[in-house]
Amino acid sequence: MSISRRDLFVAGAGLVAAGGCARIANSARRQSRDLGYRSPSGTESERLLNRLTFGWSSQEERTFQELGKEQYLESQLRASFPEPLELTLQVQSLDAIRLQAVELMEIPRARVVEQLQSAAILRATYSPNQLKERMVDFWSNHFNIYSGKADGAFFKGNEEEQIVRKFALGKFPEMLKSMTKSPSMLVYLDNQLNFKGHPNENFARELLELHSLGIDGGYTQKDIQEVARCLTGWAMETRFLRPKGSFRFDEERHDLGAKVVLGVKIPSGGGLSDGEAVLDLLANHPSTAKHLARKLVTHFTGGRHEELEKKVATQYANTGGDISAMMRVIVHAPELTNGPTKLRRPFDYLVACLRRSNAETDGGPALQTELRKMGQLLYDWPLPDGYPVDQVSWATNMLPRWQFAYNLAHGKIKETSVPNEYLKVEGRQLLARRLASPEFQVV
Amino acid sequence: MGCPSYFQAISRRQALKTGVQAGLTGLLPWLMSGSALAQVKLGASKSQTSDHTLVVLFLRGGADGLNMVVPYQEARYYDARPSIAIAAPQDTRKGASARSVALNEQFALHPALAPLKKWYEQEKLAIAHAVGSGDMSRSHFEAMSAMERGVSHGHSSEPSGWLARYLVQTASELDTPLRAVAWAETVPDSLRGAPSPTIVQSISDFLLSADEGFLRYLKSAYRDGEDLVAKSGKDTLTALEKIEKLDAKNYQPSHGAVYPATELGRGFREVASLLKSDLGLEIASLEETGWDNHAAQGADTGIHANQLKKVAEAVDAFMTDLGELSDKVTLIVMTEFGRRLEENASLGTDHGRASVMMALGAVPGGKIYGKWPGLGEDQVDKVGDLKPVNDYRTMLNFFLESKMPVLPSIWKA
Repeated sequence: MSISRRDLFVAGAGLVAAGGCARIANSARRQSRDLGYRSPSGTESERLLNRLTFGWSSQEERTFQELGKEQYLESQLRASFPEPLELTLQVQSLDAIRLQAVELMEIPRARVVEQLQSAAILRATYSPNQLKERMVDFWSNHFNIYSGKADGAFFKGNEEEQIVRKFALGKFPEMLKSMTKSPSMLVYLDNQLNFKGHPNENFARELLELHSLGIDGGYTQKDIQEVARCLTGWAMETRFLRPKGSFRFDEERHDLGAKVVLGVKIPSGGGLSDGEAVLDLLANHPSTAKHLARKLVTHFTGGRHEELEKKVATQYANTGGDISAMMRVIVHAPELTNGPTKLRRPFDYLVACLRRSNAETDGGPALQTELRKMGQLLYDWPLPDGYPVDQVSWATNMLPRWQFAYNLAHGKIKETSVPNEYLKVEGRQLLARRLASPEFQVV
Repeated sequence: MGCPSYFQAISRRQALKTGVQAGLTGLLPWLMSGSALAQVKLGASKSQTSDHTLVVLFLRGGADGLNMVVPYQEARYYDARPSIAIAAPQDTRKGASARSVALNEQFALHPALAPLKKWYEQEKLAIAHAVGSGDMSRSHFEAMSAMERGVSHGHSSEPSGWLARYLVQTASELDTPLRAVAWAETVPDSLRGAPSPTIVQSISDFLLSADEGFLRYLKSAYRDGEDLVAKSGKDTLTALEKIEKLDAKNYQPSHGAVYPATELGRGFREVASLLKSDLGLEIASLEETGWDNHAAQGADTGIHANQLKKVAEAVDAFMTDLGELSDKVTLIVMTEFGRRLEENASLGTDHGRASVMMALGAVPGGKIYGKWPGLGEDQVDKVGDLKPVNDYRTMLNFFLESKMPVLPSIWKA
């Protein structure tokens, strides 16, 4: 039996990931990273950083102080901090990030999901472009897919790299269009099975309700059905000897008849342009601006602020859906820091603990076990709406958080440790208590 | 056989009493009566329900109801499944262990479910056949999502779970975090939005591996305060204390019950230990995966039979262990959909519509409930699936409403 070139490639990559790269990355990080520790200032900057990033760290504070607020925020909005080499190495050593979906399919699904999570944890913890990473988390939930459904897990890595990360602070209309053609989304919400004659409304409904206009966005059941007709034949390539996982417009399965979407006539005989017209319509719709503004403001402030939402929506309309322009309003808004506290979701909490304690981690299975016990394993939410943003959903059993805090501080998580330099300043007992405290659960 | 008018045991009177419109005209009538009921019972006191415990075992992946409770008089069942059909009880061409176990003149249990026969005879096991939801997608995800949220189909925008809405509507100040416990890795959809559900992978894991000083710190840090975090922390500490006293690891089952050494067996054992400890358990949620048998499903032996054996052994042990307590416990076994009538080319079954629901304990057992739509060519649906003529919510109402009176009002469209 012959070993294909791809087999070799996959096996070789695994070896590198297990040994070389991770070690190099960790040692590089040790050398380059600031291990000094300062207490949080307890001032506005601490709150601001907690709200905008994955949690205050002494290094984040230093960068903030060095650049000054304005320049710091602008750098975050542009995601212009250089990515540390060791982070890039570590992430690129993961098959799930580097390989294409078809190659990944030779690796067990669980391992692929594990690597996707490692990448997300590493970037959230170590990337200096913290706002971008928060946005990646936001959009990854906004366009949620469930890695347990069909082959979604294998396509998710490419989707994160080429769509979510690419447009996280870019143009929303571009992200929306790319997402609608993304294999994991086509599979997850069944547009793959959306054919003329018996249109599958699953994706069309979520496209309107979740991805663009919002539940109160002013569309009807008829609009959903018409959008579904426009998107018939939008599918993932599955034909023999074709690049599985690319987008394919299957003309034979497309409904060529005339449609009316949100009062706009789409003439017959349109083909692929039907769906593209719908996406333009949605991207330019005021309800989309409103829906996204509301969601972003709630996500970052923890509450509703109608005036701020209006300003953010206006930015969307004025800039052709520029996400960084919307965020520029939010990061400067007083509402960002002067409202009531908000409970950290488990992923936010886990990363905040790592950042706070200058921890070194591979983001791997042992750490993910802690995240699973807290209930927010990434890419594991089955519904298309993404993990809940409301606080009540997460105010459940605190035991996994406390145990994680204790385990992290006491070096009980494999491949994750708090450096001695940090422990000299704040011992294990104090660190465990600080991370488990009610105050640290909220921002 | 397979007469579509077959309708065994829900009498007209029972149907009216429970608000079930005999399953004949869909859900609308009782949904409406349900919402009226909600208004009346919003202030219902919890004492009405607190002496009853509901245990839900969800079989994830679409369990094959046609091989679980075999319609052995249906010639078409045997025609459609030449390799995987389960022999009729009287079919002496097969050995006794390969034959189904008759429940009545029409239905028989898969031989791997034989341990449950005695509970049927003791009227502690009720079965509903041809049960399903309105979800037509045949997608696990959609169908599970529909059933766990207590809605018609997976596309409903209702975010909360049916058990969560029940818990919210009957909440009281006496509730503890052990009122609803799920043995699962993440919060099951049925408990989304519930007040303080406790999610455990095992209650023997529900302990804090830390030093005394850390625990003392938590107790003082989470002692005061009324906000969300403080309340969750206090609830967790209360649960921790109670579970510690429970000593789940050393639990001794009663009546000679022996739980199988499976995940599911351990789960049921823990449910029983919690139940008997009187810590306020009202809702327990368990799950078992491995039912998506598209290939090499097997018949009296094989993949599906092994799955059924796991369930039968665990449920049998649980019922034995409970003894008389089973009058205060209802165990529901449900699945998101059944399998295609016809076996496929890889000797498995593809996704279908209707399956079986089982109810044990405090239920009118020894009967098979619901309409039987038949398996004739003109009786199955267009794709060739057993029709879900008995809505899962109708059946849950029927099995549970006398113990959980607000139930009909929590379903959503």
